[in-house]
Amino acid sequence: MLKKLLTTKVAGFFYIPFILWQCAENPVEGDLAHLTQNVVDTTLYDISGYPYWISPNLGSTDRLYFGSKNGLTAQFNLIEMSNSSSWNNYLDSSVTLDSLLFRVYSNDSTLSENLAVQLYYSPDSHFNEINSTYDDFDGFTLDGWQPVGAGTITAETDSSGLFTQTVISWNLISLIEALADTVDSNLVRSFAMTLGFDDSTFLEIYSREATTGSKDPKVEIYYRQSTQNSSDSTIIDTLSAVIYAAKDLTVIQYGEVSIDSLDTGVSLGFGQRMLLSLDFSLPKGALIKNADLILTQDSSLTTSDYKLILDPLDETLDTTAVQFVTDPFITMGYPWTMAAAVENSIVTIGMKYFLQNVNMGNTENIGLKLLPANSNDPFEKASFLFNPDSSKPRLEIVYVVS
Amino acid sequence: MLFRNCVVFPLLIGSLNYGQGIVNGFGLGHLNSSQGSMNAGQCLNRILPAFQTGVALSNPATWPNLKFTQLSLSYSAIKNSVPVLNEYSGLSSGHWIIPIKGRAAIGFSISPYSNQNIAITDTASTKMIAFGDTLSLQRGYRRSGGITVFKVGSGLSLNKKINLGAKLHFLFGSSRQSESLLMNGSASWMSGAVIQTSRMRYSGSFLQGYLSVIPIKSTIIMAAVKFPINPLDGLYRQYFLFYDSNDNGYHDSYHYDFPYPVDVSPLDEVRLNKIHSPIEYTVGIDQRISPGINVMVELLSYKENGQIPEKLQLGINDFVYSSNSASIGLIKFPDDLSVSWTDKFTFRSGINYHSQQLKFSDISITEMGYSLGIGFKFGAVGNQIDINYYAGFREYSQSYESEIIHQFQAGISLADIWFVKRRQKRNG
Repeated sequence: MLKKLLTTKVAGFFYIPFILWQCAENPVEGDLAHLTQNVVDTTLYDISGYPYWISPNLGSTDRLYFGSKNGLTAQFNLIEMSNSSSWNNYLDSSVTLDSLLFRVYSNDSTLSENLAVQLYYSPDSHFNEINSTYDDFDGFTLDGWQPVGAGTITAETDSSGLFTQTVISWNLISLIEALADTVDSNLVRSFAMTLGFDDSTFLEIYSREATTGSKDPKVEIYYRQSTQNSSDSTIIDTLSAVIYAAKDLTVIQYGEVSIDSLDTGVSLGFGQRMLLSLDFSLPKGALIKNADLILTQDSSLTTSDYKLILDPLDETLDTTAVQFVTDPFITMGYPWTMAAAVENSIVTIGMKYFLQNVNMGNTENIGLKLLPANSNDPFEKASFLFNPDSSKPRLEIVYVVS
Repeated sequence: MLFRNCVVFPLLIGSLNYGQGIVNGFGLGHLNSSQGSMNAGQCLNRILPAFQTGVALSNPATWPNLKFTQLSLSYSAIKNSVPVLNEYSGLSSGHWIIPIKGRAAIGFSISPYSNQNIAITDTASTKMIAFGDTLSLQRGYRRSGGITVFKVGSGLSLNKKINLGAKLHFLFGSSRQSESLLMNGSASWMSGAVIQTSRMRYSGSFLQGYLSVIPIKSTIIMAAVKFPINPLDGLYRQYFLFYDSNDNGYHDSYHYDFPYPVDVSPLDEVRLNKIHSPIEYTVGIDQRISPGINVMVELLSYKENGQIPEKLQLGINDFVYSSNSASIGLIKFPDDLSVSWTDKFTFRSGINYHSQQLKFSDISITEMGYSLGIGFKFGAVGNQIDINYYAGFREYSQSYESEIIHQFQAGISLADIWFVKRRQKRNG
């Protein structure tokens, strides 16, 4: 038995060095020209663009606007504050309210202190941030709104004296009874800002979408709270609370919007969007390495850094209409959306993911919707050239096929 | 026993893989039967006895000559200069042979059948202009895996002069092919590799018949013929091209290989019929020139009747369709009757000439080599340790540079009496 065990162990140790032999696998050189994998580049020009118009909504833009530009006029902005228990601090007998400030912010350092931005208050809801369009405000007046007055404009600087922001403030202390109303269960704290302006006035204010709170429209409450301690003395704390805007919207007034099917562009403020149609086919099994849709602008009308979203259509719509109240073209959304910005009069939109999946049969190419990103200036329009041979839209594809 | 079961055997099974030489890139790879010696105890012989007097591990017609059951394992380490150095090692064969009363024998073995490991980079890189940017491309090909053969054989001694044997070869295994296109260029997307992988699973069975005749006392003539029962088929599945963003060679979700694996549907599996269907004839003569010393001559002819379809991308677009080899060996067997340890050695030597012909390119491959081996029998039942060294020089008639091959093999064979109920010792 012992002999057998010894024999086995000797055999085992005899093998282990071979098993642990460090093999080396170095590639050898050879002629691989017979392999079929190949790179192909191709350009497709069969791309059409069809503009259409919807009633614009400016509830999701990064700014709130006052003024007139490119035929659009923004006369007032609506802001709805969120419900917060801080509104009722005032009702606590231990609380002494020091100030109640409504504040909005701008990055414009040239605002005149004499600019009269008026604030109004209403205890009702007046808009839907996502769905309200200018049509909903046809005949809208501020009758019945409670005027607060003109805001105080202050340009703030940092410790080195450099401009940081302009703050417009209103003291709401006169509205405290209305704002802290606990009887009205449907109380909505709405504010309207208006500005009397001339043709040269154009003012941008940060909307609630612009930052994560620091420059949002807000109400700041400063108060003192007294507490009785055990030794019959009173401690007074100086406290503050911030209530942020829950919704905001710029209401734009239009003149007559011109509908021109040759106007191949997009605009947030004009509600102009485009449908793109591109004829696309690649060999089955091809892998797209790069696919760029390139749209060109007239260099004299370029809109630098204008951001565009290209969203594949989810279903076809059989209509010849070009003007709609709400957008009837349903898109696929994330993760299919593509985005890019205009640079040097050209926008290059990467379409690799979408086109690859079209080629693999995972989705269909029934058209795409081109629309402006909400961060764009709504008064701008980005137009693209579709007719001239030299700068018509093109789809540049590089693919690998085996 | 625990050491053997838990350490040695798992390691041996896990080592059933091995590296590359140029021949690995042809067709279904480098057949194990064409590479030096097949195991440490066989020198260059395929069917002629070299393991022990009158016994060849790979020839079942000789197995009835065994006195005890043999469990034999052989391990091989190979160094190929192609001309870059490649080294690899792995199990070259495992045999378990049970003689039955000196009249018959049954045996099982497992060994690599073909080695398909190869990594090739293209000698040339190409350039193209894609939308104003220069794109540089270099092809690459990598294949791993291979075919293993499990054999079941039996031998029968008809009389003192004639032995017969038969062996069934069950071929199985898989390989993974990877064809890559490495990109480089000035644009941001011009980087990384686009890879197409494919897998092949093999199955087939061959039958090999053996005959051993002793026309005169000091001479043995042996012959064997191998032919397919079910020619080797391949189940081939090609996978979708992908951009390997993390350079690991696999289509995975990590680092977002493109297209995402979840978006890709696997392609259908295709059966490739009769990709390997060899006919092989072997004949040999073993002449005893003095007690314990034998001279052997063996000839082998092989012809491929299978065909590799175009669908299967090969690293080197060719395959061996015929080969012939001749070997001469001189072996001194131990004196089984001697009690002196110096008489327990086996000395083996031989030279061989091997010629292979490629199908499409008409390139001929010639290999000349020599082999030196030594074995030592120990223990009452004839356990044996064998060591063998083979050096070869492989030359191609065109296109490829010559190779120098060094092969070192070591084998251990444990003999015992199996399946015999041992008598219990009685106390008192």
